[in-house]
Amino acid sequence: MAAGATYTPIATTTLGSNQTSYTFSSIPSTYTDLVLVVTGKLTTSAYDTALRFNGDTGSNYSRMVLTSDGSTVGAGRSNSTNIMYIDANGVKDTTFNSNDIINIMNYANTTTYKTVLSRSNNAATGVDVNVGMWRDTSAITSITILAMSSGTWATGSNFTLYGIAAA
Amino acid sequence: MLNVISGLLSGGAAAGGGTSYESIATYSLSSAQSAVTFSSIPSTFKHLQIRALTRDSGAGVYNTYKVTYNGDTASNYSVHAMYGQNINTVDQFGNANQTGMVVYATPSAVGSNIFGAQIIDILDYADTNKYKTQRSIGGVSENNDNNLITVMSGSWRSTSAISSITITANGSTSFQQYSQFALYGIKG
Repeated sequence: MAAGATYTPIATTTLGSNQTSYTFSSIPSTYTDLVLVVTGKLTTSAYDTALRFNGDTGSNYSRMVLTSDGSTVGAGRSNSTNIMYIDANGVKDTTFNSNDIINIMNYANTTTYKTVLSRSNNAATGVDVNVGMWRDTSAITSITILAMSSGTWATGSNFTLYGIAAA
Repeated sequence: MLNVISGLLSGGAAAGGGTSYESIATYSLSSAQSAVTFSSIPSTFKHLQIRALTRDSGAGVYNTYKVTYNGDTASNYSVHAMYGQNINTVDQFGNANQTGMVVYATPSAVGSNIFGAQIIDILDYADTNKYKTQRSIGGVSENNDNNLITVMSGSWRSTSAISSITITANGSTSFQQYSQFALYGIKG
């Protein structure tokens, strides 16, 4: 019954210098879902990081987060933003590499808006679980990973993109 | 430009190695359907994962759906969840003796392009010595005050190997066109 192996690495990069963002472009449409794994830290203090699809800078993103900082659990939403936030307390900092596992569901379909499920984890600052929406029916062909508030991704930060193909 | 990793081909294996994640079967709905069933699930994997995008025909903002194993609709399931909703609403619930594993969040009466997403892991599904444990994350962000993110766990009090999984829309509703359910196996 099994239809075949998948969860295929598409691309990976480890930063050789500090950068404000990194973009995966020319993403093939041959998969069903994408999984983006981020392991990194920032050169400034703890700031949010975010995604942008296909270079869209319009206010077409939203997200809902359940978050904890070690003493308090909370929830929050961001509507009509021009980026998709992917963390709250599980933010990147300057000391510890923290990680995000980001599932971009049915990214290549041209009928529905795109839904993103993710986890962000930083043992020093907190953990998050997020759901995001990009209100666009275009297939996702590029993903930009942004450091916010004038932060920069530190040298050594790693971004890896996988594709999962359904039967 | 993509920095493509050489030696790892789609659906294939790295030189000298293998992949442990395989697609088993998928439902992509071309019309409304009240339930889908994955049957004849092979026992050759260690864990299963369902990746779903859902929308139903209900009148509410969002709904649940139910996951049952091997056709068992008796009260042999329990679930526990914590969730976040809109601005700083955090809560939790636990329900014993349920007739299926409840999973959030399927949007209903919202824009037709909006689908909720759920990723469900079913651990050690073929082991005949232990009850089965399921965990999931799911949610929907609708760009308004109808947002939900959930973290859930559940137990099926049966030691039978799971050979079929049925996913049933809430109540009398149906999953809408473009809802999708993909089943994957993960080797141990």
